[in-house]
Amino acid sequence: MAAHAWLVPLLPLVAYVFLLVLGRRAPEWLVAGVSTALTFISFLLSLGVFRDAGQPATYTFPWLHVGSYTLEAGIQVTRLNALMLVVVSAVSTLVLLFSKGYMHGDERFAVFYQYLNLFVFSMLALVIAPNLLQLYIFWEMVGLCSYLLVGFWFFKPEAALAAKKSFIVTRIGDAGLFAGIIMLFLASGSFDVTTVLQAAANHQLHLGWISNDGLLVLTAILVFVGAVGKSAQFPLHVWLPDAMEGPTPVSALIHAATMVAAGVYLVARMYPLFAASQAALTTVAWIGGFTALLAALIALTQRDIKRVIAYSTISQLGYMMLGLGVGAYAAGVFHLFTHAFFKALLFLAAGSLIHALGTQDLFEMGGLRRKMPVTFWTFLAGALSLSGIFPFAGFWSKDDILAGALRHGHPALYAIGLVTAFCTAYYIFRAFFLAFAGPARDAEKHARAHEGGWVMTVPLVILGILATIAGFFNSPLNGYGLGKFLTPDLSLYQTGLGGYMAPERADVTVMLISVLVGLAGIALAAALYARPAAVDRIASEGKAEDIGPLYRLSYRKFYFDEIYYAVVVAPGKFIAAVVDGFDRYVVDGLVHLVRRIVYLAGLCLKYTQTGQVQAYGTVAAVALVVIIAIAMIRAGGVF
Amino acid sequence: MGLPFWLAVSPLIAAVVVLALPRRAWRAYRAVALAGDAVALALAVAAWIQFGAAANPIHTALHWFTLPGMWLGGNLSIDLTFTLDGLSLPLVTLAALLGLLAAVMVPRGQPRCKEYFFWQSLLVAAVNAVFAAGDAFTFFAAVELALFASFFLLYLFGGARRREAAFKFLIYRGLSSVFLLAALAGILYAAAGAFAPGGVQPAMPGGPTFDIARLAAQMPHLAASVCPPSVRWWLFVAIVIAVFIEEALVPLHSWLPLANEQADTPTNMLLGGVLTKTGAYILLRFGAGMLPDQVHGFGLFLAVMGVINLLYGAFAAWAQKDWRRLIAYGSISHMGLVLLGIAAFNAAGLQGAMFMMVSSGILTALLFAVTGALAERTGTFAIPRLGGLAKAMPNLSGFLLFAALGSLGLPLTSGFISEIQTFIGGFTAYPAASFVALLGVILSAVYLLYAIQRTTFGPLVQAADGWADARPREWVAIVVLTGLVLLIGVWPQLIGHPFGFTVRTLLGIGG
Repeated sequence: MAAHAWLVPLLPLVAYVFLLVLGRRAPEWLVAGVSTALTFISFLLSLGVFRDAGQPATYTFPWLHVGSYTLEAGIQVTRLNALMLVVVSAVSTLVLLFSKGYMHGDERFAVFYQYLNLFVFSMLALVIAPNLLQLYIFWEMVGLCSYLLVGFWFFKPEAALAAKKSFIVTRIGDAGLFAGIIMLFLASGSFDVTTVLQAAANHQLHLGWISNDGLLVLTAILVFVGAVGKSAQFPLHVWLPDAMEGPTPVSALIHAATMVAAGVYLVARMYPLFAASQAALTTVAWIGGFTALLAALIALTQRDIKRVIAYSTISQLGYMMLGLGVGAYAAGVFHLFTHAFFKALLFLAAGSLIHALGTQDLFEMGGLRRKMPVTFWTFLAGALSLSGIFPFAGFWSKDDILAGALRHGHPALYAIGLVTAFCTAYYIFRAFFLAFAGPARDAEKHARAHEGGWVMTVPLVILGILATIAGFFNSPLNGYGLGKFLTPDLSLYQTGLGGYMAPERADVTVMLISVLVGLAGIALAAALYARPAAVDRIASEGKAEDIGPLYRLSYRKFYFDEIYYAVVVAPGKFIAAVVDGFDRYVVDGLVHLVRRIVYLAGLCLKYTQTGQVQAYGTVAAVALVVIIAIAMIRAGGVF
Repeated sequence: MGLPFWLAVSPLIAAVVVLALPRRAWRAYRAVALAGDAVALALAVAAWIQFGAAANPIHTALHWFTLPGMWLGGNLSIDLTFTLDGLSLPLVTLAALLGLLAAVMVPRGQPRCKEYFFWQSLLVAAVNAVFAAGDAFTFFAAVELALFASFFLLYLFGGARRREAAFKFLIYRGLSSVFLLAALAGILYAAAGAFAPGGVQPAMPGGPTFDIARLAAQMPHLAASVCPPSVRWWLFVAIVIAVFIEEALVPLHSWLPLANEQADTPTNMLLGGVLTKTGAYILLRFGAGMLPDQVHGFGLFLAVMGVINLLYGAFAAWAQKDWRRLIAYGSISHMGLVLLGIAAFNAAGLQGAMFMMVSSGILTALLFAVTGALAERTGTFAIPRLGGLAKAMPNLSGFLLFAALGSLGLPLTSGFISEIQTFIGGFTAYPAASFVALLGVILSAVYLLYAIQRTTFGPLVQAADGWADARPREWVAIVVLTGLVLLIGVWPQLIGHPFGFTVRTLLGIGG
């Protein structure tokens, strides 16, 4: 099947072109039907590719000759790539189906599907890129699609700003990745991922102006900078919550399958490079851990349901980075896998709520349990999975990461992970109780609420099932099958990667602690938001009364946007204004000055042109005398 | 008389016919101009076929007159020579294409259309000749002709401050011509051995020559006893000054934003698309081609100037409130990268610089075409007075976004493949400068998306009565340029093939 893997990204591209040609005339059912069907076929093909995945299979053709080097394009199927194909195409199919209901009646319905298809194509093409250049190309295409979709409702000023912000912030990371790729190319003589990683693992990367070890660390960090931008890790995490301005299915796609997953995927794909330099790996782990905690703390107080889930994404991506960074390779990828399902689920469930109520404010929801049972139960499955409660999917993967942190000797990171787990359970159940429990806080909206059609509920149910059971793919029950499947990718590269293999046995104590911490978080959320007695307190929080400084710090996202504006944006604008002023007044001013001088010289000289022969004669005579004098002096050797 | 000759001359004939036509309708003048430009473009395409896989330079020479006893008894033949090699072929095609599209973009009812089409056709003939010229004499004559033709287009048909802009343009580029002439004459004499320290030596077999191919073959290899390093140094300085003005490089750039702001859309397409590429062409042709050691030796200077231009242009673009000035500074920023690529003086850098010239030419013309079309409807180029245009004109807004994305180097556009080659070259030779240049990659997204967000996104700020989306003549130009940006981005080998030959010649590898 590997040889046919190119069909997987091609089909969404076909759907894109089809919609481009067909334009806006096509009816909604056709647009959504074709898109969903083609991506579903992609999904089936991915399953075939996944089944047959083994040794890396590469197929390329020449693209551009630069000097004596030839850039290539093509595909490569590794075990990781095959897994990503399955996850991306599965989640995308469901999102495409869901969007039919969510976007119904939008005047740019077909355009929306165009962009979605392009998005899916770009991500699928990214994950089977055989070389770094092609990976970067689709990396940027993914960014473009995200820009287009976040700004889909471009007439809303917030959406326009959010789209720009998402592109520029990720672009900062991309610049790092761009430099990293070029340096890896120069140091290894190739863009080909396998070649680059071989060279890195054997410590054969070499550039004239930097030591070999320094080069390993530098390139790994530069690649990681790209991942930090894409996966919204600190300090480039600020774009993701704003990206909520896009339609909710877009959020589901961005958060689960097609955008932020790319960063984690990149680190996993380039893992031998990171493994070759401990400093880089440690950086990944600590950035991940810090981001996980930071985002969880911000999520504690958000009142927009999509923001809560958005920060949870940042936090969960931090977990994945943490896992990869401490050396639990399979655990990091596994969490990417389970997270894709439960996060897509949470977003689509949130979309279902928003669609029904017309609001994203948790404090305008409430009491929806009976009105929207499918959403209720599926959201619950997603929330339990996110909280890491046995036996839901998130439990297995998160626990895998935490156990990995302990096993590889990072107790501090383990502690951070536990605190984050507590916060996670608390904030997601706070959202859950605010939405579904208690009385309706907005009677009018509550009265209107209803489940969407089958196109919306079917994806929810499928994802609900996956969020419940996906953990078993890599549990003691199947002998950590997914980890065993993945790690042979790494054994191609020598250098002591044995430690990154999946564990053989489960650590029951660690599991128990994780579950207890998660339950404690849920209990706290229930105590504060589910008890009938809490109604008044919720009402006052909803009116933003009596908020302490810590609450405000969390609610205002630790003031990152304000700080970045003051430290980066404002100085940038200032420099721009200075350059512009310099250009207008100094550069152009000098030009005007020169013109003045020439003009004045002309004015002076014009008095020499008096037309009087006597004057000319005088000047000529004086000049002659001066010249003769100089000649005589020079001839006489005076000078 | 061969193909390259007619490539340059057919728009010239069109110009003469326009002049000779009795007072007629707009349509007649336009038809003549279009015909001349179309023939030129067709010949350019034919030249690609003839150039083929074997990369045969296409050469035609037309002897004009001889200066007898020019140097040590050698006669100097003054010819009109046209040569299409790997470097000039893509550029002359770009010039011919933009010439045709500029004629297409001339609005119906253009006032004083006879004069307009005359000067425009003359300008197209001149820029075609600039890139097709095979000897220094023809080249210089073409540069001068282009200068005067564009001066009159600017002087007669620009905006309110057109006279100021035109004179600034004329003085700047006239000054550039002085240095260029000095450099070209100097190269001629140097190659002939006039500056040999031990007295005059007849260095050039077959007498002195203006022929670029012969000069390029001999000039770099002349011994120090024939052409001392100090002479080369002065020649290089003259070329650099000429290039900096011609190319509108900081700090000698201030004619460009004003000219772009005042010129009309078709002229801007030619000005931004082609005329601002002649400087880099001079640097490649006469700098890298004839004084490679100096270009190489002054690489650090060029690289630093490149990065300065890249960042200066980007920051200045960020502050602009007028689309045309923004595009002008964006083009300056692009040319900074070209400078960095040439400074690197390796295969990737040089080829990247050549790609960037073509890519920036297409994208600048596309940006001018789209913003011009938008301004025709909204009545303004002022960014603060625009907003939400995507609602009223989704197609034009989409193309504007595409042009911006190409300019900021999005993959699968020509901008990206140019950028990455330049950076590969840059990181090889000047890693520190290249790291700083990465800031330009980020800034280009900042200033372009900032302008896009305020132009096409957000709520509509003006009444949109009677705004049609793109009209046929606009469609043609915009779609063709968009297609080219994509074509080069997806299939870069198209222009990488001819450029590759020149790169190998410049570096002395293989052919």
